[in-house]
Amino acid sequence: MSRLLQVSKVSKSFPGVKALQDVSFDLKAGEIHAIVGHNGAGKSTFVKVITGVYQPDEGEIVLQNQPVQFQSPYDAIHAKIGIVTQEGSLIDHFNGVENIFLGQETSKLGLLDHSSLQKKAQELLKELNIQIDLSKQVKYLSPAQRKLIEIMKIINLKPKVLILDEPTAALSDKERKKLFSIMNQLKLSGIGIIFITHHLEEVFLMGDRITVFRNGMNVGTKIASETNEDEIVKLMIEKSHFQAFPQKNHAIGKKILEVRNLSDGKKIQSCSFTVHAGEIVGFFGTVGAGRTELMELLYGATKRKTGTILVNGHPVNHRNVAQAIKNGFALIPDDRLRKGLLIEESVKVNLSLPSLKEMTLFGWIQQKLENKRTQHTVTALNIKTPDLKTKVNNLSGGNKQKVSFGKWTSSEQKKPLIYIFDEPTEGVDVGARSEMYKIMIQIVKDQQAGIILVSSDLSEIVGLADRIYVMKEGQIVDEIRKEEITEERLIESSLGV
Amino acid sequence: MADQTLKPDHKKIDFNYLFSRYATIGALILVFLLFSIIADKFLETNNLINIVQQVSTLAIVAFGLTIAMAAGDFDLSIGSVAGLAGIIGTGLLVNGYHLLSAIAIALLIGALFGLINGVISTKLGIPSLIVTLGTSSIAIGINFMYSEGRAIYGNLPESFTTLGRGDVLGLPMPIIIMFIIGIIVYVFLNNTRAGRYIYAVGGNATASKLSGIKVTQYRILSLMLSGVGAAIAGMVLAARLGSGQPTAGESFLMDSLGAVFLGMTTIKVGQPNVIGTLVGVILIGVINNGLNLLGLPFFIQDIAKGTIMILAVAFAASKNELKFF
Repeated sequence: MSRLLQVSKVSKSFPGVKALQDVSFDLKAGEIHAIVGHNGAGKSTFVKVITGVYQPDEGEIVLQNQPVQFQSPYDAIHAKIGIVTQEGSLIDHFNGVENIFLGQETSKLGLLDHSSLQKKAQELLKELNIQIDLSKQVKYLSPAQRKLIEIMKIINLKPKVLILDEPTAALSDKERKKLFSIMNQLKLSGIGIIFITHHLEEVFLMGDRITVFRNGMNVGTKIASETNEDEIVKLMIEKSHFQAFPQKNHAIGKKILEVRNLSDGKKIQSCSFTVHAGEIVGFFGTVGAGRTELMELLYGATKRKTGTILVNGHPVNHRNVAQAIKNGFALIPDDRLRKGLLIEESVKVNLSLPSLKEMTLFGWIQQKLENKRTQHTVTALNIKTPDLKTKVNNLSGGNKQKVSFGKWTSSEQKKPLIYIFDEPTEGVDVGARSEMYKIMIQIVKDQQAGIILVSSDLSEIVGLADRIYVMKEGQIVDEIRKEEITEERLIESSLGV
Repeated sequence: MADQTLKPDHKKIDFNYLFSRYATIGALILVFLLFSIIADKFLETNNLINIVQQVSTLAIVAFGLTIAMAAGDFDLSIGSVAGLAGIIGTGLLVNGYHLLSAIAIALLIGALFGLINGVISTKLGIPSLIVTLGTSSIAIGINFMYSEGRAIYGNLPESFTTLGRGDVLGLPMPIIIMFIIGIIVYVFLNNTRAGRYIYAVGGNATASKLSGIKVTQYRILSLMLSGVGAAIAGMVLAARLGSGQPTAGESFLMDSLGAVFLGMTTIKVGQPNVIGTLVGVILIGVINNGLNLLGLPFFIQDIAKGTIMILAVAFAASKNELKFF
């Protein structure tokens, strides 16, 4: 088999982060090359570099013995590199045919040539040996059918390299098998396939070779038949990490939160867990395992279908966020720009938002009191801002996160009992990161409150959590006590090995 | 947010910043100076009062719309609601209702339309742009059903027409009412918790919800206040005209939308705000009046208004300060 794609020593940095470091990788024609790695390992950055979304800082990409430099995804498509992304790129209210030929329409006398497009679409269906009603708007099709239409759209471009990013995520077992047989068919026709997945069994079922990413590096490329799951999992785990975590040596108190059989009737199925005073409880899982959804459900932001929530032994039945806050919950959401902050408003406005009631008299905002309280928070959390009037948008990532957390500390009357931190250090620099860790330890130490820590960062969750729940596909699949926590166990549980 | 006094004193004067922030006010001053020079009677006290009086009802509508837009909602029903309130209010007065009850019912109609707009838009998740377009049409229909397309006049009590034609110390009543409403809306948006929450909801509804703010409630409230503002304007306009005109509110919608957008280019850039809206309203009034004095035909006013609005908004947007919804 000949070398189709050769990537040599590619590096890519973003402000504060080295996303890819000296990555080399190659793909042969007629090969399925699987890429695995935990969240943030650099898989998606790598894919974006070879599809022209990002330009590498260093390194070389050679396609069929020709060095290439893609300035945009358009260039990559023209060089016959096709990608089926996780989110998909279909237009919901277009039908199958319209989607497949989007941007590639043939026309006669300036009018769309529907009949020839129809014919071409039927040929594609036959070629892939599948049956789908292509006249339906794709929003009415199943996830699997949509995936197949995406693949048809790419195949129509006659790609040499096909990248499939988590293609099996929403598929049933049967649909998955269908997809795999199509992948095998494409492979036989000489297309090189890069297959990204979280499921190790799929990797071994489909992959000819397996490359493991960790911390933006290629830490090993193995021939599938010569390796096993154990070896791959070991490669995915970091050998040593130097991040110093603050010591905590206080006793864990009584149970403050008990959740029984919480479901939303959609993604989250019957989750039960507990949190004790002074405890940091971790929630680990792959992206899409349902951790954020579970937290927003617990917080009353989405509708509960079944389940009981007990705070200090008493059932609380909050139906909305305002009631959840009264019951002692505070959420520091994952996507702080979208969910946590009013970025066009000042630091002051953001910090006082949840506790503004305490700073108003007959609906009237007490400006002086608001200034005093929020200034206190700024000082206590060491938020670096020119003044209280500065727009939050102008702060750094770490300081934005401090504001997103700090708004829960501006109240004097009521301190939250259960803090939910969802990916608190995502996109945060090292200095602010260790400050966030100190803040979290301080919460459990001083207030006898409890923390739920949702994190995809292995070293962070191992370093901070007293107990960890692992989630997979909307369910809690493992509970790991402090003395049993290892990175191997976390990875294996989250992948369902 | 309200006071601009907490500026760091070490900061040098940033002309670019000042320019982007006060360009629309600069444009108003420029247009004002221009007309002072070329139009004879422009600077006379009577004419200046006249300008403000002419835009006073528009300003009241636009203040209400400012609240709705601060919460991130559009209200396209304001023009027809103003017309409907004026028609029903004068109708009740002509039929012998007491002044206060007629005013109360007119304002209730405004609040009711706002409530309907808000409830449909939040509970069914339909953009307020569409809902208010629909209710606007309904208001026009009720208006013509009630008035049969004819003006309502005669027997209007003097206590009512005073609201539109009277004056205090030489200052016409509509101007006084405009300033009172303006101050109330300003204080409401900047100094009360409800006002802060309305800005929060308009800024980021998801973040507001996760901070425990009842987003639905504040969106409904803002649309109700917008409806009440329109109803007040409708009544004041009817009092000034001395009759209920079925088509009275027609020009309110476009002009007040223009004023609020112009207002978003100044003071609190990117956010609907009362002082900005007032600047927008007065700019529209000055252009109309000045071109009128010069004896230019009415359609030149429309062309000038449109041009200035696009220029101001484009300028602010090019400074990257302005974001629309």
